[in-house]
Amino acid sequence: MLQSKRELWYALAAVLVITLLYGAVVLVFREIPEASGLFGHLIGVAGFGLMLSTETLYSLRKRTRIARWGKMSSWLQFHIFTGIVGPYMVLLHSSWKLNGLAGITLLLTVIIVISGFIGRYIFTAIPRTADGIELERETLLQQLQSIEQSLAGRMGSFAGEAATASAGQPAQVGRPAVEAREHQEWIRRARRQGGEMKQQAAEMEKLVRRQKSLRRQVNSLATARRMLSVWHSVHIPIGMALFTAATIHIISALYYATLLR
Amino acid sequence: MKNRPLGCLTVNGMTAAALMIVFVVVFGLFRDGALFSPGKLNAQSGASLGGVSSHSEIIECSACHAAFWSADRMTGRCLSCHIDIGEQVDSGTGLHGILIENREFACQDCHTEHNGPQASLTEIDTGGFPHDATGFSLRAHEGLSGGALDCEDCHDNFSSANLDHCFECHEMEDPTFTNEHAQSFGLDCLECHDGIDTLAEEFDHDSTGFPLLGEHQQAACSGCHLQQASLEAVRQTSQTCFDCHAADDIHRGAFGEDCQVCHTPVGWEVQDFDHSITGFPLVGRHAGLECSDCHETQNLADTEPTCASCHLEDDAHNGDFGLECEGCHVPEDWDQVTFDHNLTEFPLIGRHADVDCLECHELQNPAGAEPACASCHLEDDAHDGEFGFECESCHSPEDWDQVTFDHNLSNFPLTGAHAAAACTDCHQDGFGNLLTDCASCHVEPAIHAGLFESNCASCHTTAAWLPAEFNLPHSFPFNHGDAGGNCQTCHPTALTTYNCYNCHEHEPNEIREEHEDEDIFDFANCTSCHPNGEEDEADDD
Repeated sequence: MLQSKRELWYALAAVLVITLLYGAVVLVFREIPEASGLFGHLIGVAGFGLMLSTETLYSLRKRTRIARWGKMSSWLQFHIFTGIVGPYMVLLHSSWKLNGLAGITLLLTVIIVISGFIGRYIFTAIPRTADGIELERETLLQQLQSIEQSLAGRMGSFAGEAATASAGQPAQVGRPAVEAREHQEWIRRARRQGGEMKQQAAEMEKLVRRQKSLRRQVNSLATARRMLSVWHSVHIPIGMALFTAATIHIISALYYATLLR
Repeated sequence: MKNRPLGCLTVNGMTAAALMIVFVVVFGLFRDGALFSPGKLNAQSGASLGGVSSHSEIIECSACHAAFWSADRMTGRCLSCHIDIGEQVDSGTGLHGILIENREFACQDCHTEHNGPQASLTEIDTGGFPHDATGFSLRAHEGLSGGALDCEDCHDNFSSANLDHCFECHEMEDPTFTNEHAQSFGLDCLECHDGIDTLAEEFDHDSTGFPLLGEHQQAACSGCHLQQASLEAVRQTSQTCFDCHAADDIHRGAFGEDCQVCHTPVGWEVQDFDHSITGFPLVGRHAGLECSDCHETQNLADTEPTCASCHLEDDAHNGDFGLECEGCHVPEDWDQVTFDHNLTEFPLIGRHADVDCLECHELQNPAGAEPACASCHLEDDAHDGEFGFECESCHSPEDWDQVTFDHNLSNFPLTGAHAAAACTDCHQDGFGNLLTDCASCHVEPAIHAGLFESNCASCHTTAAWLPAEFNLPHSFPFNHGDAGGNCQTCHPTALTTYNCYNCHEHEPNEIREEHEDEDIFDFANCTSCHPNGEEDEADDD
């Protein structure tokens, strides 16, 4: 389901932009922006808004039957993006003070971001459809078998040359390491021949990567499911504690500072 | 696939949220609002106010923080302890009284908390703090190269600035100027400077009523304001030239202290000087002269305002007329002499009025002309000096012949016919030795036959010779035959003889016939028989 790391690059870019903006404010005002100042408030509110989006939108999309807008993978990417950028803005909002409830909230934020990163890799270990539906082991095995057949077919059409090339070497079909070397050798030669073979080499490469991924998923599926369950049981309470603390922090800030007369 | 609940609504999630709420509540019960404090309160001890000596001793948030829905304000809670500040604001005194014009203020606008035990309680945005109200604007200190100015850069406390910091910073900026400035004006910067450069580079000196013109624009402040270490002293700086430029006075005070009469700030060189104020207006040929033509030294007072101070060598009279050239000459031209001779003891009247100067005065010795007629007319003296040299006694300048001698002042007043006589009728041989007796001029007439000699006045007056009044014994009646005193009636030729004939019946023939009739033949001496002229008296004899 989530094969690319595009959201991470986007998040990194957003973090850089925000960092530059923050640095500019520091240079202009020659001080760390106070959490209660205009800029501090802006990044605090925006960061909290992104974090709230992180927490709610993806879950709602995942669980709704009515508004199934967009692919789940895109929502997950958005979830990861906001889950990185939002906390970063909240971190800057803190003006690097860790006092009281605000400090606790920030600490929980850091924890949940780290937790999110861990969860992201556990999550991706479980194959899913584009709509986020987990694939069963049998389905994975069927896919693996189909790919291996396709690989064997391609290797077979190349058998004569491969046999010549590997003359004197015993065939080791079924052994992943040997298979992998044979596939790489096949791909290297196909590239060297150029023309149509070069394109076939690219397709062969994709099949090999998919085969490798499916094998890993098949082998780790049960473990990944267990880990994801554990992760959920930790990540969600931390998130709830975080948002509860953040909400109390916001209310107290409004009471003690913003609305203070 | 069944519709699972949101993660936050799971038991674990709700529990975590509830635990967080419990944690906050429990913490709040034991530590009041410390959980919401963004930082520790200030712990610097001061005077005990409201039962505490520092904010850190305050436990309850509500001691300072009033609920926003209540009518109370944080400022009110501050002033409930800081009573003196409230009094300052009310009375308009002190720092707060100056800064706050009315009660519409909030303490938290300038003062902050929760920044730590040792942090300052005052964090003022130099851009927003009305520092001008303290009498010292921060305008000139904004955007400094070393960074924005912090309060601590100048203040050790907020009641006053540490002026040492002024010197320290400015010495780093410009050590030469700063040290010179401190040496000239002292270190009490605030005595003069108000922070808006009113007394520095952008200071408009025109506002003082003494605009800096000409060379004054290049002058250093200390050139005029040396050792004036207060604004009041600077304001009291004399605006008279001499007070600063006394040492520059090359005239050594000879022209007084009003330098601006001749000089301008453009330079000491005199521009468009009105020389008339010196009492020596430059007119005529003087108008085109260079200053140095008369003023040989820079001390202009060395040149006396007299002609002779410059024209001594030009004096054609060699000083004989003194040094007051202007008595005769005008600045237009030496030859344009306008001497009023009437002011002298010798007014030029009559024919003298048209006489050229040099006819009387020698050019090289003009004073040699004495105011006496003889000094010029000696050769013209028709009297050869006989009457002396006081020609004016008789003559007037109109004409030599117009003599106006008053003979009555002499010992021979001219009366009678003498008054009408020409001078030369008497003074034919001069005027000096003529005697006053008649005989000096008049010869005894023959008719007198030497009887009277020079005793003319016995019978005659100056009115006329005749009629004469004979005052001597006369044996014969004067008025015989109505002679009326006319001697010639009886004495036609000489008074020693007489002639009775040719008068009425005294015809010789008749007398002869009449005497011969009476046998008188000697009848030539009539008076012998007729001593009174009577016809019949002869019969008596």
